Amino acid sequence: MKTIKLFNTTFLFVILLLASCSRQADLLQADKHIFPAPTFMELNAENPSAPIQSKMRGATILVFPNEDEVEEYSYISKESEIGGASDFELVTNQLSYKDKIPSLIKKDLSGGKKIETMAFIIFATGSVRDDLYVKMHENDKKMDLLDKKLEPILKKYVCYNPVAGRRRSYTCSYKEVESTTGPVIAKSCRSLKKLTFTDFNSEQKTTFKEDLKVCNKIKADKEQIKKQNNLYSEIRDKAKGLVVDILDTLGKITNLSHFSPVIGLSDGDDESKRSILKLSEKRDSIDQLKLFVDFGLSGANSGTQEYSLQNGKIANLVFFKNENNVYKLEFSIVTENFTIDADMAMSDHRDFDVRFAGSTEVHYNDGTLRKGLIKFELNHL
Amino acid sequence: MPNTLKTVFILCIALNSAVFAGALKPPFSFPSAKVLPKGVRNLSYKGLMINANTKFNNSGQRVTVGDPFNKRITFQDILDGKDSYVDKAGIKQMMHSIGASEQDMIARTTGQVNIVADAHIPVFAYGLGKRLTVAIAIPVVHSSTNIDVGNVQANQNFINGFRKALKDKGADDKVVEFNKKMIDPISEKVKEDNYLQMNNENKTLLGDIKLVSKYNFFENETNRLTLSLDISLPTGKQADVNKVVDISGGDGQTDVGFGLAHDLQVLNILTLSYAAAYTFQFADHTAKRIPTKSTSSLSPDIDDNTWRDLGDNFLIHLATKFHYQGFHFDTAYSFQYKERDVYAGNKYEKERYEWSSKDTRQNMHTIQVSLGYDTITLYKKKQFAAPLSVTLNHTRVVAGKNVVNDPLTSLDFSMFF
Repeated sequence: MKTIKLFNTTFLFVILLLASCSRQADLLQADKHIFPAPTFMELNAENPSAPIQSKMRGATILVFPNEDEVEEYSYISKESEIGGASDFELVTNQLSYKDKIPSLIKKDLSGGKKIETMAFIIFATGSVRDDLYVKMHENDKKMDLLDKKLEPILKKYVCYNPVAGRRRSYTCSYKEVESTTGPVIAKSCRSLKKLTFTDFNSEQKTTFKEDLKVCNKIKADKEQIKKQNNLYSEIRDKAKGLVVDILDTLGKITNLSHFSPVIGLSDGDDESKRSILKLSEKRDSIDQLKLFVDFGLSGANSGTQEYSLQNGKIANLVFFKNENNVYKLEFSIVTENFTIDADMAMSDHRDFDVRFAGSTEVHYNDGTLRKGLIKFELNHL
Repeated sequence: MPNTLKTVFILCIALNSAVFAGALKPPFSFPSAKVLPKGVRNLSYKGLMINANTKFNNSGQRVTVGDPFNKRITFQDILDGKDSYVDKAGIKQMMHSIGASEQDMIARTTGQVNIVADAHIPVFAYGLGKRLTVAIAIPVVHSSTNIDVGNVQANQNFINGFRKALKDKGADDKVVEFNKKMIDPISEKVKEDNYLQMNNENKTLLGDIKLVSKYNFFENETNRLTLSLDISLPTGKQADVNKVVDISGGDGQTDVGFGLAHDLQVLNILTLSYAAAYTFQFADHTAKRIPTKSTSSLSPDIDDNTWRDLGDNFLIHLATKFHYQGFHFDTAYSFQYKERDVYAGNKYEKERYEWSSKDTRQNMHTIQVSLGYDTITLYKKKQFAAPLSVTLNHTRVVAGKNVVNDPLTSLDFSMFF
């Protein structure tokens, strides 16, 4: 009996010992490979702490329909009235992926697909506007450079003791001499051409001719750039027109205003009606937010109205830096028909200066909720 | 030790489902129609060692357990991850602007999961009558889980281009979000969906306690037939719905199993055994993450009252046993099949509950070998002090579908009194 008990006790002890043992799983490493990320110094503004002009360069507020509201909606881009490329083609030809952009939205597409297509065209045209804005900016810099090249040429030929001739031509002395009339300095290549220097030797005449050639070349380049910028500007306007056309067509179906024009720097002549966003010097608060917007309302609130912190039509404004070190701006725009809750993030960009961009939730008085987009653009001073 | 002890054999109890919840497990014991003599008690300890590093997928191919983490991320996946059509349009426009298309791969996620589980199962059996034996098994499972996830970025031009496109739109916050997702998309997704952070974990859990009864309804010199009834009680803790990978002690519901076992004594030293068993897994309600798409089980949405019917399963088990003077050498083959799990609920779309059933149908083919020694014969001859036995068992999963592929080793100590 004792032996049995001894065996059983030993047996139980062995079991308990085994029961207390346990293994550890091996440590593992999953494959990882991360490319070095660019620092984006080249995309951020050169001087992000530079003061910001408070008058907005531009702003966009638009609202998308819900899927069940677009059953009757279809869209086809307009053909050119005078032949040649249509506005749609002019705009989309600027993109390498123009073949991916549909020129029409068929009625038999699902609601979701219609919204997706509509938004895709809007984003694509938006990117055309951005790309051309950058090109125009680069052209402006080229113009500045050309002006800097031109200026010394024009200033080089001071016309002393000018004697006026026909059609604003002058005969003059290159050497500084006393005169009862002031010296003449050409302001353009055309004017420069009309100067005749009586005291030029042959070498100076040759140099003058060469400088005239250079001047005309610069002038031609400037004209080319100006022409290009005019074309870009026209295409940018057409791109905006496309968006307005798509959303106005939509509005005829939904009886809503989906695109709300906002008055920016270059809109209209009334300087007192410019949309404004003013940041504090330390950039830790918004001192002023004022929007001049036409929400397509009726009655006393029709047309472009002011929406601001002062008049209370902009409310619940919060401006803060989030955990990702990004500045966020949240506020509400209150109208008689709806309230727009905006959630925006701030970005400083080398090409576009300051932008606030984000999404909106539009709460209509009848309980409908729709979603939209909002963007403010401001210049560095 | 009571004198009525004449023939004592290790009680074979189908304990498979007591260790890991719901799913099929490799068997670690052999079919047997034997029961304990009346009044004889048996205390045994079963120690199971199993790894879960590889498995057979739904196509029967061998893959790592971490395989669901290994996925290509294409622009189509990024598009599919957006609910809003406007967001989809934005992604599409940026994708085209950088010269990419939907099928282009931007990165691939990677993951490794290494699980080691040791189950310690004390079993107490009692010969209630000459033909009736009852038993209780109380499993305790210790598990060790190591997880590592990562990302292999595939196309630097696409990634930098996309990042720049976001920046050009003035979406600095989205640039930050994109950067985080491009470094560790799985962890970001896990965080976004409100799961707990994936950490290595060691833990010890009580499993589902099993009650077993065996009734030997026929016996002659060469044949023995026994019916069995087992009930798994929901004592084991279910997997945490807030964890992506979690080892559970049980499936949180009661199961009832019926079985038939037959021993054919071919020779004195050779016995052929087979068993067939069917387990009913009853329907219940539980908290579950309901997938948002068919290709991923990760989801932010929990339905605390999901109706669940885990698939019933059946087992066929064939064994040959050689025994000579206390030594025994056994081999066996088994086939198990489990029906798919069914989920339903009212909180989300019906289709989403159906996605939860994906890859839950299982089958498993195993082979086992076992080597052991018992002192019962010597004890009966009064040449040994106590009737004890020890057995080493090894099981290999040779084919299957949606089951762990790793082998199982178990050690069995048993004493009778």
